[in-house]
Amino acid sequence: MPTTYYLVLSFVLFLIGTAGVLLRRNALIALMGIELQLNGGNLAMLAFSRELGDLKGHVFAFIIIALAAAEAAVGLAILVALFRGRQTVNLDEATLMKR
Amino acid sequence: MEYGSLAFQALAATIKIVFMILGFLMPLASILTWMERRESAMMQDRLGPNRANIGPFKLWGITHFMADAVKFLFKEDFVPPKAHKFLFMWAPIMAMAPALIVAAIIPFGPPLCWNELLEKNPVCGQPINLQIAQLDVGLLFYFAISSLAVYGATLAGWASHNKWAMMGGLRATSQMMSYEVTMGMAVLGSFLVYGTLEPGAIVAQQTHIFSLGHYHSSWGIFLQPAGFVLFLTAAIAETKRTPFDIPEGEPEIIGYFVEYSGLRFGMFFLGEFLEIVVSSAIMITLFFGGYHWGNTIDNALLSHLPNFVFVLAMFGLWTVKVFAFCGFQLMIRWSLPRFRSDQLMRLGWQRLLPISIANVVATALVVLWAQQ
Amino acid sequence: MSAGGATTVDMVVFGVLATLTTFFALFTITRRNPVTAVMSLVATFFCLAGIYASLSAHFLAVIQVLVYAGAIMVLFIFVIMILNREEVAPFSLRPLRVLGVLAGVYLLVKIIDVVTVGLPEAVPGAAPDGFGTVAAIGDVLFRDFLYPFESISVLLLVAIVGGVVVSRSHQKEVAAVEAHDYRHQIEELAHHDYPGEPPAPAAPEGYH
Repeated sequence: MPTTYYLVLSFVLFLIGTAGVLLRRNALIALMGIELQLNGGNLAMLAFSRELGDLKGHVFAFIIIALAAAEAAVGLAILVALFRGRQTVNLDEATLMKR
Repeated sequence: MEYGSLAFQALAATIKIVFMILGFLMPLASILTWMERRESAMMQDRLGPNRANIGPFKLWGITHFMADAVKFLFKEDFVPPKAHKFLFMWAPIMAMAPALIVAAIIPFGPPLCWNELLEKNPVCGQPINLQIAQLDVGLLFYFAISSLAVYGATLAGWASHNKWAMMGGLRATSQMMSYEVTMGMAVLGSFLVYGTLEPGAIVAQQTHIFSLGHYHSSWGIFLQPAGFVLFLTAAIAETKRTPFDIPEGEPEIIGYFVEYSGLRFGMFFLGEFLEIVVSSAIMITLFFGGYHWGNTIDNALLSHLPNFVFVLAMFGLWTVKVFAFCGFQLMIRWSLPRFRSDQLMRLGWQRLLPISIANVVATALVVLWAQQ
Repeated sequence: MSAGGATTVDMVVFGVLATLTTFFALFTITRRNPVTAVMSLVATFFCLAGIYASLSAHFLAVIQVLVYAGAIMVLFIFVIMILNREEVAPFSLRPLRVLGVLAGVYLLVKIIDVVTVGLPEAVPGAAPDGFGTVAAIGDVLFRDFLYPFESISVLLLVAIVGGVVVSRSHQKEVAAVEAHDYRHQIEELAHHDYPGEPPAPAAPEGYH
């Protein structure tokens, strides 16, 4: 398949992820939007790697996956701490540091 | 249809799937549901289920597994009123499907030589590998798919809309997540020794049972004894068998499938036994030579039997190994007391994981030293 | 796999997987129930793994399922099961909003049309031997990318420590558990409202 098709798909995925981050009030689903964004980037990386025949793209994508794991873990830990304080994961209600 | 064409490969794969999964895995897992009760009974000095019969044939009660299946089929299909209907339906599928999918990478016999089916000791020009999918990332595929089995327990607990089921689901999830890590690390040593992730290649290197001259061709258990013990423990914990069955906890504590009845529960039940069979097969592939039975027996059979019969005989011997391992795992159930939740987590994270990391480091050092 | 042109099988596979990916991704961000959103995200990752495999990235495809679908999403589900209690409707479907979304989709299609006009339509040639296999990636990773590899290991360690520190319990709760004093937690559970159930009854007067 032409690389362009994969790039368009990665762009669409990134857009859907951004929409999730911006539009949803539930913090967990916003985090899922971030994961979608990262995956869009991964797909673009791998599409180019296939076109150029270079494995650097694969290594990049591998490191991005590891990074997403670390970020999800820390993000969820922060969410747990936030929830413990405010009893809600609604981002609209978490706008001020002082309650 | 010629040998390498797409149609030939598709047909070969279909036949292998039907033969292996419908013909071997499912019947063995079904029989294990009966065998567990019978073996437990024998260990406990009682009789166990031996009455089900078809006409005059009792067969020591083996037909109990068919009776069980019929019973599950005719039970009322009950979905709790406030449960999430789709996820309630989906959870048993997520529990059973991974075990079946993983069977794709297991090598269950020596290559079948297509043109030379009736010759003894052929030069295999056109081999058909008895392995449904020869993936370069073989065993990583096993870990990837078996990590999806966690969703079965989690969703079952959550979708039942039942406090106690959800707590059981959380217990199950945390246990399975913990032991997945150990399972992966335990096998890293084997990867270092064999230099490949592909199960067929790993089996092909284990041609002798134990030989001091060609130590590298011994069975895997002599090369990685610690790896075997760790993998066995982690696999039993992954399948949530005793002594790690606190999530199900049968008589003591409610588990995650309390709201499931009939065939939905049957799928969880059968999924557990399918995982026993598949994890036994993986252990045999990594540590007990796969379908090889040592140089002597292999060569004797190879030179005296036509290729087709040879492959069938080796497959039969492989099933004997799998059966022995399944029986061993069933026997452990009544030999060890059950771990408490916190003991289980401590065992996984604080004891087994450091040992498996030490195993990887030691193996790496030995491999480096041996290469000089 | 194809050298030169895209075969029909390639196009069908890509078409199906791309449609499913987009569909599941949209499903993820529009669900009211977080667990359903997680499961559709898992399905998205599965379809993406299929697309990676069609790009000859076999190792990355398996790693995608193993790490993303098998570990990160389990972590999400775990946190959801422990935390989330409310299900609020994600967005309300007013007619003007639907019109806005449709206009946005149309704009997106036009933008993609315009942007991809100059890009080559050629299909990449055959992949080099051993492209995307474990051995090849290991070679590149541990020779050219050793420092990034080590630093990502350090980053994972930092994330583990950070996660444990950030989500640590308060001292009071920890001390109570250590002293096997569960009265606080029993009381919390007794007054806990589960979704869909009537609220916990208030204690009758004069009750001790």
